[in-house]
Amino acid sequence: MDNRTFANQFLEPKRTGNFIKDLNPLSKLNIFLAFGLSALILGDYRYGFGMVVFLLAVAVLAGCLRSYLKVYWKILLFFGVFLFGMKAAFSPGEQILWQKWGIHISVESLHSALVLTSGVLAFCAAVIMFVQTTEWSDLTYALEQKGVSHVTSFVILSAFQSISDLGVNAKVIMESQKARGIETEGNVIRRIKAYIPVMGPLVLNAISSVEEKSIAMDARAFSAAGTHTYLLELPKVKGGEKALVAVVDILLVLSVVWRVAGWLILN
Amino acid sequence: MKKWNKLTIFLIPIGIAVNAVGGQLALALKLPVFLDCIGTFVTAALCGIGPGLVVAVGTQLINAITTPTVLAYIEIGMLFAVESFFFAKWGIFKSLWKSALSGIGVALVAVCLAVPTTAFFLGGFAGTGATTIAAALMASGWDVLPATFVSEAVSEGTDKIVCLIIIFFVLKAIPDRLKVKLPNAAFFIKEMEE
Repeated sequence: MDNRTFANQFLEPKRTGNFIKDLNPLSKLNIFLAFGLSALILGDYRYGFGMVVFLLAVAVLAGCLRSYLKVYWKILLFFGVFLFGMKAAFSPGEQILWQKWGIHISVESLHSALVLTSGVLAFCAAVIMFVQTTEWSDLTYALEQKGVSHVTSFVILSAFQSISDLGVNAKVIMESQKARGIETEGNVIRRIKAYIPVMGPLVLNAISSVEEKSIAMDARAFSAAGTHTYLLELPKVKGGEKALVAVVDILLVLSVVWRVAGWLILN
Repeated sequence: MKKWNKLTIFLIPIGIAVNAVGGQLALALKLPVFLDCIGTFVTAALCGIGPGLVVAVGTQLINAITTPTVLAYIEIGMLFAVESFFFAKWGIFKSLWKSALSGIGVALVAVCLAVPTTAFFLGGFAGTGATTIAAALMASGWDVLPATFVSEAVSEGTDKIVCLIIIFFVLKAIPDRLKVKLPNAAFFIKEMEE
């Protein structure tokens, strides 16, 4: 890349070339939340598991299958296997299939386990999918365009930065306390005792750095009044994207109506 | 958000990070407690309810990136912020034993809020160590509600007592010259009370 193309890329709105990733962050948030909530609302395990598979396909299309599965497999294990097992084993039911040591697996418990598991899995999939396809700075930028204060953007982005910074600090402090002879292994009491000499300096350091940070930020016109300028721009939201969001929202409303109507008819 | 003290705004991300890193550290040391709300308590005690609420909600949203089910418990963290503000106001954070005792209260309220969600929404499955206790109790014939209640009460109770003791030490160790610049300085510094 020569200097001219490098400079020119800042004149164009930011695009990755992938349709899903290039959606406006707020549209994406809306769409994925609607997907996740509809699975919870409908309470139909075929729809829920269908949504999980569908979102896997979306992950492939967005080209983030690997990073998506890296987060999602834990959910699959915890909620897909353990939650399912717990619900299936202990929910009340009439038609008992298998029974031993206080565990009753029945047709009803299996069904309620399927419903719950599919809903939770689909909701988690949607949330994780949103996070995997969106950059936080894009989301905060989109929020600022909607009139949210830049202080909010700072808080969100700075929180992520602080987490990784403090994580590094914690490791350093733990190593130094070990060097001073504090034991970090052994029984529970000993390990709790090791927690305090790590956490104490960590929190105190972080809090006292706040003052320096606020001075440094004000020196860079953090609290200056006036309109802000941006280095990057997001593509304009097109009609097709708006239509997509509208369709998904209508489907969500329909699923609520469907569920409420079904409940009213039953009673 | 405009009327907040500038230091308060800069403390919010730190509070969120302290919550997250505190939890990670507890995991790294293989402690049986979570200790993932220290930042919420400290921020709310020093800066007030509003910033504490922002820290609580922010922490849960960030946790939701990897485990979206925590969103079902978002109100509990918010309650911690409110409790912490009043504890600071009533001077509970000035004595160690009062802090530890109030940990029991905090845990009880948290359990009462968490149990219905865990029992009815997730069928007793909280995804933490407490779940094994709940499963064992349910296997020996307990109903889902009492089983979840006992298991959560045990784990929350120890967690919050240890948590509040640590918070007591942290708040005590923050130098007065920093506290004095924060909104709730009068709760901690004697000379400012009049």
